[in-house]
Amino acid sequence: MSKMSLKLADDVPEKLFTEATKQWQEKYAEIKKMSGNENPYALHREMAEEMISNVLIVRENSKLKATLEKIDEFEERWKNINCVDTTDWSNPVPSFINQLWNMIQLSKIITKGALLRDEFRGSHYKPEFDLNQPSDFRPESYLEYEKQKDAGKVNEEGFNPEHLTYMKRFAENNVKWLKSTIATYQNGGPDISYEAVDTSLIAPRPRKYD
Amino acid sequence: MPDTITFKIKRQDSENTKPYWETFVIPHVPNSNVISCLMDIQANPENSKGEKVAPVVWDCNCLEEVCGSCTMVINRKVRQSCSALVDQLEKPITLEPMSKFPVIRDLAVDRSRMFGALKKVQAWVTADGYHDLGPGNREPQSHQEIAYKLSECMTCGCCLEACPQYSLNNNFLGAAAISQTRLFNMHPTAKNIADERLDTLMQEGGIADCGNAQNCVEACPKSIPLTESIAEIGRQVSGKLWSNIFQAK
Ligand code: SF4
Ligand code: SF4
Ligand code: FES
Repeated sequence: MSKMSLKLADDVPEKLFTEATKQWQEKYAEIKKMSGNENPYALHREMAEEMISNVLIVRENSKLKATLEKIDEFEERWKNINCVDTTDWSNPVPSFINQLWNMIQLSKIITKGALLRDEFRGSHYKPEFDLNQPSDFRPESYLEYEKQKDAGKVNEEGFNPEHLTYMKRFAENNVKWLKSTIATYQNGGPDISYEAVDTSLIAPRPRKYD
Repeated sequence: MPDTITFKIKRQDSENTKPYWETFVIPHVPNSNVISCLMDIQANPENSKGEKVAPVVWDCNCLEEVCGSCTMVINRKVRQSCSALVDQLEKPITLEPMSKFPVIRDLAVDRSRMFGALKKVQAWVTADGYHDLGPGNREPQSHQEIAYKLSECMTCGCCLEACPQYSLNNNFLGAAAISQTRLFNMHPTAKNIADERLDTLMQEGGIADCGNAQNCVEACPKSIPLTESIAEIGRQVSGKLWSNIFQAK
């Protein structure tokens, strides 16, 4: 076994801490100087309303696209914020402004990730990409279907034909979309890529929404 | 005339500066609560004289009356601001910080003394060590109902704000800590240090400082039976006093 190198805070060069302190002090000093005419809390509220109306459970690509443009506008407007409290004692405003910037970045990630995903799963619903699950479909029958597929031969007669075509649609959709969305910060915005999901412990199956 | 609500807020810029009152008039939004109104003020921090001022500072977290951090004095009554519905309050609405804790700024107070009191009475389950201690003792069914009620304490401070014996200048541990002592002294594992907790409550600032005014139980938003807890701990303390006397012989 290789010797574990135990690194303590004391071993880290002091410079790291002083530079980090300096970086944040400068950042907060910059924020405190912000003297535009947007109230950070009002801007936050406006963005929240936009996100709640368009990027909640039911999602439509056209609205996601429009929201993405809206978020870019919020980002521009953020630069015109007024730091409505510049005092030094227990002042929550500068850190709120800093957080709001991060919320804008996170909103972009959520909205872009949702837009690029031409399907839905989990708690979301995109009516445009509904796979039309038959109402009497039972998710366990998909596990049986997958089992037969793995064994090399699906006994197609054994399934309700409507269910069978649905399961094929579901399987096909998973080939493309059973992936985690990865966002990387590139050139001032999120770059979206995908990563396989580990399904070795629980086999994926359709979800029932009723 | 537009439908508005007037708030009179007792503000304080820092720990050592003088408090002052400031009035805000905001549009009335049906179903709003005191926190959503404070957020309206944040979004447009202008007092009734039309002056731009710093937004009011307050604390909040859960917004569902379980964390206790938003406690303040609303229309002279101590309560949680997140569950104070504006339509049910008399107008104008007055907001003040609690008076039994040091003000940090505006409506935000420092409740550390309450958490300190919980440390003093060791309000936790004592299961120490990194080795596997096996399953804990079972909580008897007969305890569950009362233990559940006592465990709902959110260290909000209402009971202390209302208590005539609790002040900024003394060291009374207060009803909440006494009630938590009762909870942990009945817990099948935590009771192993019941005596140590009672020792703490026999010292200065302990149970003898309670004057039995019973304001605490009236003020508790979680309806915790604080006077019963005080009586029960009183019994435990007297029991211990007697056994101390006999042991000394
Ligand atoms: S009974 Fe009275 S004195 Fe005792 S803790 Fe409650 S309010 Fe305070
Ligand atoms: S006993 Fe009641 S009033 Fe006192 S801190 Fe706990 S929840 Fe608040
Ligand atoms: S915010 Fe937690 S009790 Fe009000």
